[in-house]
Amino acid sequence: MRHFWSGKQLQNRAGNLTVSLVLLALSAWLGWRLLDGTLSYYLHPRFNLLIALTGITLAFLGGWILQKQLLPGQPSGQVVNLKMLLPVCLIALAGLLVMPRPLSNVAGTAQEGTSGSNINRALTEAVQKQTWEDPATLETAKWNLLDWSAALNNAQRAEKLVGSPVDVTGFVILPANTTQRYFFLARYVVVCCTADSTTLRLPVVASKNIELEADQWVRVRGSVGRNSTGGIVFNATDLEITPPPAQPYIYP
Amino acid sequence: MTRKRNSAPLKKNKAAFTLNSGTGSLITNSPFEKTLNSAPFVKIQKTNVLAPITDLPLNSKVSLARRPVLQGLKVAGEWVRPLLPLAVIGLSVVMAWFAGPVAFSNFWNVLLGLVIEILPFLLLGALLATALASSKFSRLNIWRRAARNRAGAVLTGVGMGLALPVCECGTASIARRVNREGAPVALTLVFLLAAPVINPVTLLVTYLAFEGNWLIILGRAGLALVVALSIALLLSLYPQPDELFVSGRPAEDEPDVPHQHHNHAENETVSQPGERPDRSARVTGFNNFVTGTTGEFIEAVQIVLPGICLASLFQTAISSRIFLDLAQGPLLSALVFMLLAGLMSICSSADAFVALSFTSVSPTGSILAFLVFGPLVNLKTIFLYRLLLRWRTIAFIAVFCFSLILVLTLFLNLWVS
Repeated sequence: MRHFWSGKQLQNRAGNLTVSLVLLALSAWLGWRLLDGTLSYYLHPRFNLLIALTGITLAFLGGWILQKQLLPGQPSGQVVNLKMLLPVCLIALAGLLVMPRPLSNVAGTAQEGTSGSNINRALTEAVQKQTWEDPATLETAKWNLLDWSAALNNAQRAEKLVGSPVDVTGFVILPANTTQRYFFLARYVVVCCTADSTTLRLPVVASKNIELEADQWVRVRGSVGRNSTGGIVFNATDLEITPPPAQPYIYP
Repeated sequence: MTRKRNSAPLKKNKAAFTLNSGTGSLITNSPFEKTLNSAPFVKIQKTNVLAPITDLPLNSKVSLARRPVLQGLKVAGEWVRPLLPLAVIGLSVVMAWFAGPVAFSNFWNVLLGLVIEILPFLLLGALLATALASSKFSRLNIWRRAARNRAGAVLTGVGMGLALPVCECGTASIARRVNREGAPVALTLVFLLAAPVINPVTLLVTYLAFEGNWLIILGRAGLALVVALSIALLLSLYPQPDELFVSGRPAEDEPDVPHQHHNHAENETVSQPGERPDRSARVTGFNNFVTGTTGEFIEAVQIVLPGICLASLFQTAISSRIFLDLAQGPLLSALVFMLLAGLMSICSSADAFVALSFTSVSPTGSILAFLVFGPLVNLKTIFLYRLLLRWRTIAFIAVFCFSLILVLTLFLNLWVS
């Protein structure tokens, strides 16, 4: 038996079809970012399960509405007012079309935090549990920029760490009056999503002149030292230009 | 009498106006006029030319020449209104583009990050709101029974806020739903304003971030409750409570309200021979649940997007370091942190970790100002409140929140120090 749809029904079905496609597009966007690992460019990985559940639920809602529209004899009432669909449609398209890129700091557009200010409880405790009486026992070569920032935030601890080995990776920030040997090594710290990102940066002095570009990722090996004004710096004996890591931010 | 009950006479009067429009005068003696005039919620707006044509006083003498102009403005308003969010979104994108390629790239990153972060909470809010509407609570008129007086209403609102694990992104949908179900103003507003802070997830995160610092945890919850209760009780005294809320939307924008008892002719599934009718009813009920959730979700997403765009623009164009450098002294630090919280628009389930980074540079009162003002009034929530509140109600809430929180946290700054 053939089913004929009236003009109004046809209009409703077309609208609902669009709604279902938008929901499926949102779901596809979340799933895609989750599977290719670029979700971490936007959000702390602890949200991955929540995002996966959201994607599945959206796919279910979209799929349910889609099958209701395609099957004959099914309800064809309008699900949402189509006027409100356009912004959602645009954001779903943007999600699918805009190439995922981690935050960049070439122009210094991101928020700059003071060293060690944006660390969470776990890392603070981790640093506090170290045996500061004997710095030789500390495995500082395994520390990231957040660990270093937390440790160097205290003057007494910083003093004890002079001479300790350093092996950290980050991106380059070139200061305004730069020499070819002095730059900042930086990483973003993301607590929840990139809206709350904070830049941690520590000064590096290379042992020889090197051509570096802003935003370039480098691995710095060397030791903690002091500059001419007595400030703490990383004295880099080995600088290696590396590709951006899969997880560009530090997630406390 | 609720708005839902009055929607029928409103539509009838629209028809009455159309019938009489050919006579060259809006004066009518139709029986619909009496119905309209007797409806207590109908508001006569003389200044708002974009208001629905049914809002015009039927006994006023509007000249024939003005009527097409009003009609034209009404039609234009109907087209312009949905375009306003798009205009804000477009303007934000253009401004970010002018800020340079890196800022533009970062703008998209923050924008999409905020959208991804907010989607689960908006979906949860939509699911809970639809479940509440289609549950026994709705059929038993529980909102009106539980809240026969202001104390009951307030307690119910606080209880819901403490029980439901949704941040500010999800509370607006639920508040709108309970409001439509007939909940009093006090209940709706207490839940809307207190739940973003006193919900279990936010309290737990605050506890973890501040390592069980009870001054911060209880101070945050207590301050939020004081603000929410003050606003709710004050606005519940307003003589025409319907004027606080957006009206007309349920009938126009929500074609398939997911009530079990809300039968649309098109949505009725005909039982097939041999099929049990209760299964058919269940399928229809589930279909209504799905369409209702989708409607709530899509509406919440589209309404919050302009705020997210503005917050992303702020994040990429202005460094919060500027604000932190200004935050000196008990008054200025509270002011700056409230402003910062409003502009950053961080979700209440995560803002405690961000506030933690300010503890070394600001007094406790200012931290509380950040933690309480942020979830209540920020670029996201003022747009989300539009789901159920009029702009002037939102403006009142924003100003009242700002003033009260500033006074209380200033007192705390002086007292604690």
